[in-house]
Amino acid sequence: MVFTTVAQFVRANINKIKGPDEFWRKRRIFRLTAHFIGRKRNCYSLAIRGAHRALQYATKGRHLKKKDMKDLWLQRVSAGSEEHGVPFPVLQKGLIRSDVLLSQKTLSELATWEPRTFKALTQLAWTKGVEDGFNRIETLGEPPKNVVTRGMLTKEVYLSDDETKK
Amino acid sequence: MALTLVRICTRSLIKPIRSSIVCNPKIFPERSCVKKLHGTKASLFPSTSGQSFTPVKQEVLTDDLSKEEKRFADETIALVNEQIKENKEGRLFAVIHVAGKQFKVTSEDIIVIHGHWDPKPGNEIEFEKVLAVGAKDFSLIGRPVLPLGLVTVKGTVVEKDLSHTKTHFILVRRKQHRRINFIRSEHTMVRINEIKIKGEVGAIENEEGVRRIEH
Amino acid sequence: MRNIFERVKQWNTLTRIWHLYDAKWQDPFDSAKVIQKYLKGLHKPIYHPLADCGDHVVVINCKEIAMRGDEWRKRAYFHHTGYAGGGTYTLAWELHDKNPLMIMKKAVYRSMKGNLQRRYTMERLHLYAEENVPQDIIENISSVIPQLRDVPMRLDRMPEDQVKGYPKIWDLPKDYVVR
Repeated sequence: MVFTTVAQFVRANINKIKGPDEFWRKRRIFRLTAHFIGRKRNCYSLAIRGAHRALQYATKGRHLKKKDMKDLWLQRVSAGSEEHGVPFPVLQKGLIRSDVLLSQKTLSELATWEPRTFKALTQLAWTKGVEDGFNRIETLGEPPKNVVTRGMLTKEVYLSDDETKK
Repeated sequence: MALTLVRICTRSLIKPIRSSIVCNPKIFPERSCVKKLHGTKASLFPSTSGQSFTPVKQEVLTDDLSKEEKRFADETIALVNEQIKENKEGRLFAVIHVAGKQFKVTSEDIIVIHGHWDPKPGNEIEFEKVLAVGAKDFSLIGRPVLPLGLVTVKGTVVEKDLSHTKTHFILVRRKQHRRINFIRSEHTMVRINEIKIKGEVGAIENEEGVRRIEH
Repeated sequence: MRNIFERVKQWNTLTRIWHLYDAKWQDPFDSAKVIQKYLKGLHKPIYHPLADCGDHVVVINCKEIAMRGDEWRKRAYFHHTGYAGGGTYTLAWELHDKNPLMIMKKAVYRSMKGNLQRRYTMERLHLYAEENVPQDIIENISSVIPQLRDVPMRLDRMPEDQVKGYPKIWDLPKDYVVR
């Protein structure tokens, strides 16, 4: 808020005992409700309720937005994988098991903007599903033949040479 | 040629890929880093009591495959390498892992990193956790990250700023409880300068070339 | 937009596609779940609830839908005229006799959440009782949604020679009267 004189600024802010001056106290709320429709905009007793409610929604909404985005990514990734004949659970499980730890957000971006990379990922997951014997994986039909895993998606590898000696 | 569509090959697993998840001997003296690679989360930090920590050694796996498949895989990798050598791979994109989040970037992008992050404006950064790289005809996918030195993703911190003011308002009706706080979180803008494939795809690194994340 | 091919690629992404769905011997309520996905555009990786990226679906053979168990006799559709005592319950088979499209339409309508978008989404659904679809709609169709169940061949519609050629364990006695 713009204060043209020092006296106005003091009235609005510094009077600790009484609180800010009534006009400026209300003015603050009306600033928040300026874009509302109806009496909530200009009648103070309704405006303050509306302002409180709006601020509460804004606080909650920041968390809800994150949840909504997660749901949207899930929807997009499953749509993308079903285009290539792989249900989402198979894609998810197959990628995690073959240690491809791309996040849901990244996968949804790949599905939209890099469809060929995404198709490769679905085929990889499918092959992993066949190698590990996922439930009812055979119902998906003929698995892709262009994936050469060289047995390395399932092979057990020991990181320590001491372990292998024992 | 559509390599991505046609051929997918896994290359011999080299240890450095794993090294980022190796536990630190100072913190977990009893745990060694031995176990299955894939599988449950527990295998990342297996607790085999009584064993001392042993450093990770690189191990090259042998291919026990039919000749035809081996030829197919080698051919594919050779094609990829050839393209990289001739600079015909086109504009690259990379998936990098920064500050707990993944970003799909290409050169000249600006990414915004939310929250506190140390680098200062003007700092040049090389992103080492590269999860995937894609080109016109092929994509390289890390398990979970690509080996160090294969791909370089470089960026510059352009700006540090605060977000818009977020109002954190709590009101409990009829209980005389009202709190209002104003929050501005940090934003860091990073310009991605270049993405390049430096190494050779499928090449075996030098044996001692193991780098671990030190605390 | 570099060249003419990339322009076509974008058209392919953003235009509405017309799908064909054959409802013959299909459960209308299970089918509705599939159809609404296409109507809303949930099958596309570019989906966004505000993006209006849904497709058209043409459903044929609505007259020959199938219902489980006793559904035709037990399922009732409620309608109220708004006047006192104006409520009526119509059984599924009665409604189907009156209008063979109604059950399918209501199934799809109910499978979607009630919001402002629902009625606009429904406008992209085209229902036909039989296989004869107007030419201007057939021209648009470029994709087929696979049926949920295979349609079995009915014995009375099988070709005569195929029935006769079917291997038998024993023959009926010559004086046996088939009712």
